[in-house]
Amino acid sequence: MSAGYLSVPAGAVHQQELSTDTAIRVNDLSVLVGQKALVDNVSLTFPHKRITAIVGPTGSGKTTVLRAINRMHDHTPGFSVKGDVTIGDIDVYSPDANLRVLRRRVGMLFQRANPFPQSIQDNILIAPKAHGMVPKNGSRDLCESLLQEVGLWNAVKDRLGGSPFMLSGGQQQLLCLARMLALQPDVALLDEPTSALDPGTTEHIESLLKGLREKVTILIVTHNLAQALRISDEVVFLMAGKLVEHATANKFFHDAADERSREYVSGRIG
Amino acid sequence: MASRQTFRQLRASLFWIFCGVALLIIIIPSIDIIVSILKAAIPVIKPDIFTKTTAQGGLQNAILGTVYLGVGVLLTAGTLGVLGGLYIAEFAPARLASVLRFFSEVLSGVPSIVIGYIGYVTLVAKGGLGWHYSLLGGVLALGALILPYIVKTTEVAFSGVPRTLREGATALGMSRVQTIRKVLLPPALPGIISGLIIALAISTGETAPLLFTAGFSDLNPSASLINSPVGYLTGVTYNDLQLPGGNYQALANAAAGVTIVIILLLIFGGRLVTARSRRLVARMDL
Repeated sequence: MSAGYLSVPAGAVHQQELSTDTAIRVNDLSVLVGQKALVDNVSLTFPHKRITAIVGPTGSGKTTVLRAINRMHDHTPGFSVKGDVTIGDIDVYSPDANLRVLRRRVGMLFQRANPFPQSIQDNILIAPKAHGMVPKNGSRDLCESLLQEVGLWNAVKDRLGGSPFMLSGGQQQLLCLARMLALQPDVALLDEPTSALDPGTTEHIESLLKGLREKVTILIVTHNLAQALRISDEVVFLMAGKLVEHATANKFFHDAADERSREYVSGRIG
Repeated sequence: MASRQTFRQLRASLFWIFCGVALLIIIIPSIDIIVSILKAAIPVIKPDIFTKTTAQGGLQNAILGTVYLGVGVLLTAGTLGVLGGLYIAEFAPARLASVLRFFSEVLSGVPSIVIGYIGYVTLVAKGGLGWHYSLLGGVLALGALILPYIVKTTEVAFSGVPRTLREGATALGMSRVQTIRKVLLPPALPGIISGLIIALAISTGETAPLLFTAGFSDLNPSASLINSPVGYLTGVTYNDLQLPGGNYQALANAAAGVTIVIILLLIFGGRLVTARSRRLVARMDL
């Protein structure tokens, strides 16, 4: 990737200072497999209602940090997490943290679309139903408004009872986005959500994310620096499980403080 | 160069020939068994064997007994096995799961005649529960025989559901029970059902555990779960083959024929369900 390509003015906010309105606070976070640290003592804050891109080379711990935020590592044998994560009033790693509440408020979208083996409509309604959030007689409206929001309504309105596996990969990912939004989360954790999708769908999802920023704090792990440049307000750069730099997107891409960041942006490492 | 290529081609053809021979060694005896059983059975299967009991020279009591035993086994071992497999796959801590799996494998290694004998000592005999030869005794002995199989197929069906689905449900804050019911069960169900069907086919062909626990009866099964022996198809084959006289031999052959047809139908049914589940998983593309 050439530096010239990346010097196209970013569409994101042109600020130089990090936001002080913090939504998520990560303190001394380490994620270990046995004795090996995948993430090593990382402290960070993620700004409220902004898009933060988490970037770094393969094996830098991007996804591991992301999955620590909604305690997905709890379910991976051999993983242990040290440190604290706070999201608003939720102390994520406190022994009496309510995981159901945590995950209702923190949505997640995965690298590959993972619709459930149920109808399209049931995919949307499954989580609100599980949390008792579906208004009486309002399930169809809820479905429609969410599918409208992600731009999938026209494609699926005649087959809401049909299988989601008949949809294209991009449409399945949009369905998963709608499924995540059905819980009205405060935070969205996105793990390379467009890496398996075509450019058209990627662009569509990116514009959706920019719109969502008004109501949701978004963290997106991406391998694609151009994507980070296009949509993020702030960038967190990790290498080998350590935090290298946390800066506004503008600063990171045009005037990074750390030499390794500049090398990464210019394509010399990564 | 040329000789090396020839050698490689030769090696490849030899490999395929060995595979073909191995396949024939497996297939020919099973086809031979099925064909010879049916050949002996077809001439002697007449409509009246379905309406007469063994006492009258028919199979009605044995067919009914086999069906009752099958239903009983599905209700007991089926329920217990599915719940056990679900527990091992989804709830048990890794350590406990491996202990349970070990005991299940041990049980599957116990010879069926030993299971029958244990059934006799604990359920049938006076020193045990004293049920005498009975339907319930037969059901429990057969159930013990196929329980490990059902546990295993259920566990495999659940753990075969793609991790991405599980993670998707977890990330939405769904409880474990909700995740199992709504997300894991639909794709696991075909595997569970085909496991149950194959287990039923295995139990239909069993004789040894039943001889010790269900005993045998020439008459139609009574309504009683205990204190009353039950007839079954493999029992007719076992008993009547040993008796002198063409009529007995004919009935034994007919019973073997009906048994093999039931087993084949069950196995084909199981296959159909498995094929359906494969298509479903392929479509999921996860």
